[in-house]
Amino acid sequence: MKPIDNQVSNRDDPSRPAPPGAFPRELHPTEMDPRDFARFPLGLLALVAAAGVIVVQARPSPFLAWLMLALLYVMVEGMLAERGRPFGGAGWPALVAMVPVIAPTGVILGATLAALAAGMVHRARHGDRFAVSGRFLAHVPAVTAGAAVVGLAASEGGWVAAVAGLGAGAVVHLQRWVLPRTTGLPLPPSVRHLPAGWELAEMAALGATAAVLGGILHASGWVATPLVGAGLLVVAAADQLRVGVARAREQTVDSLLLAVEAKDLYTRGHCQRVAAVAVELGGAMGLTGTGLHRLETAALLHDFGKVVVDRRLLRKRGRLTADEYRHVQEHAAVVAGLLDGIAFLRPVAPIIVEHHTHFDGSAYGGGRSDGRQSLEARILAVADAYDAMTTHRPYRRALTQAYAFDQLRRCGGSQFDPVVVEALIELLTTTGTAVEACGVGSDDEARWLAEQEIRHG
Amino acid sequence: MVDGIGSRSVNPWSATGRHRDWWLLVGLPAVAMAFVLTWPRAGWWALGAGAMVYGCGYLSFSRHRAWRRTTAEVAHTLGRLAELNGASRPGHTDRSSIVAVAVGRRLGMADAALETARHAARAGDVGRVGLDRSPTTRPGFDRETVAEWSAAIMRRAPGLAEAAEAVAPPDPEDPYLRSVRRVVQVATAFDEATCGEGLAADEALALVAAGAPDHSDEALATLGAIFGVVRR
Repeated sequence: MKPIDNQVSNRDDPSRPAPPGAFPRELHPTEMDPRDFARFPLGLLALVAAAGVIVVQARPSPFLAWLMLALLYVMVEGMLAERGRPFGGAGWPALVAMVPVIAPTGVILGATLAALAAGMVHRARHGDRFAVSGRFLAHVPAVTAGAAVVGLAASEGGWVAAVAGLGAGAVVHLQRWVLPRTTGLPLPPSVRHLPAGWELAEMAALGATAAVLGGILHASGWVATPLVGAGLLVVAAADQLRVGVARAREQTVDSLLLAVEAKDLYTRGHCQRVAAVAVELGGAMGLTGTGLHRLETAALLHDFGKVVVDRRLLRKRGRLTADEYRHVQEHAAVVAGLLDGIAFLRPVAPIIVEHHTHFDGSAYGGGRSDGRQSLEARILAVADAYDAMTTHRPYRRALTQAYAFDQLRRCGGSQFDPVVVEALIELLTTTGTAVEACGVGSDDEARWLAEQEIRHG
Repeated sequence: MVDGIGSRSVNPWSATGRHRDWWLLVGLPAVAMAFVLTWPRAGWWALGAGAMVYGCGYLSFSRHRAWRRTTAEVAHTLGRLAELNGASRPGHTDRSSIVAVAVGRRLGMADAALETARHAARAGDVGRVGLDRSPTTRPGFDRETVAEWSAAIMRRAPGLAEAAEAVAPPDPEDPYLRSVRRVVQVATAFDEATCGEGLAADEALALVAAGAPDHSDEALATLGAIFGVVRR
């Protein structure tokens, strides 16, 4: 688990005014989006069609066929490298399809060439020293394994090749899982968000489809090249658009967080720290896959409603009046309304709303809630309270971790789920993220210190 | 026609040309091919081959649609943020986007440009969330800074990068983006004047024209035509 960085909270000190224009200006352009992909397959289709015409007219040697394949793959990977995609690999269905037609060794050679060329493009464009070796590692073992599987099955012919294509897809999937974990590079969003089993099944199905197309090409001859190429484009599009949609969801959360940052710098840092704690805690409590991702998104957006709260209240030094407190509470209702407008965030909204209710059924700001909190909401409530206590606020200095643990235990059973509270304490204690030296040992003292700071400037 | 309008979508290989149904053009022949070429050897098993390719095409299409829907929803939500924050009048972003699209369509803008204009008009005010109802609460933040904030937020959002460039200062050199920007400016200013200041259409148009850098502005003339106002 990453250490909880109290220094971050000091940097986020809301008492420090943000300089004009301090909002992030250095933003990276968006990466490849589906519109680019719409351009890419049409260009590819034209290329495949042209290649098909040449092939029909000239009846090239196997070497020329291999060369055309390699150039095609280099072009695809080069485009992805230009866009900053660390691994690429969009052309793998084409490789799988080509194995029944060209010798597997030819395909492996093509993939090697593409990996090296695309890696060099990536390094030149993005200064990534890992690029060449990373792409080489990403492509060659996967394609080698896939080619061997499909090549062996192709010698048997027919539907055996399709079954072997399942294996090739699975190999590519494993490569996408294993490589980022062994190299420390970020996981592709599609891999991070989807359940592993679903992703594996889909990749296997895509591999099988590619192998069937390869079998058709093998049986029908080069005349079928343009149509098989079209089929392969559809397979590649299904694979790449999954990444595109997952990336769009990440970008959505990121842009909403940026809007929160425009309002209040502390809130963004707070949300990110809460998300880090909540994900670790959720993992420790058995959440996985989609559930864990939903918890992370809810944690990142749990204070999103503050974007409509008056900044003076968010940064007020000292206690809020009853009216002001009521106004701040309104943000909880706003979140549900706003997130309801974005389809993929709808399942997240109930978690955010529920985390404001208490474990014993009492609601935020009094009253009773109807339903029982979900596990995600209970985890979010504890992580939120923990971070709020251990970081500086305008009205109070940061409290010590020991004091925060005591408070969480004291409210266990009423405001918080005691099981979740103990899980958090155990997690932070066993992972060595307990911080004893920072903060103030009591709430009164912390508030008094903040008031003294206000009085004496 | 205003310079630049529609020029981008003429190029079929352009990244911004909307090939919404490209998968149909590519996928359906592929499905037919898979069936026809497999039929002589595999008989009815050919249906399986066609179904596999069709499944991939369906996945592509549904994912492309999901991506587009997310883009539209995010633009709408960003627009609502400014309204809920009190920085824009309720309904301002929706009305502005409707007017911008109407003006753009009349000017002959291509679908891609209309969609960019719609998103830019919707989400272009999101930078105002940092202002807290009145610009005076944050001295030092001028209109340009707010536009930069809006652009920064929109650049992070999926599919809004081009709309962000239409909003970001300074004026873009690209004639395509400049024309989109002008249409959005006219639409939002007109809505501010009518729904914000309570002016009649002809008065609002005169007010917008007074602030226009170019009195032969086609976007303004088109807006006037839409609302039946003859500018003098």
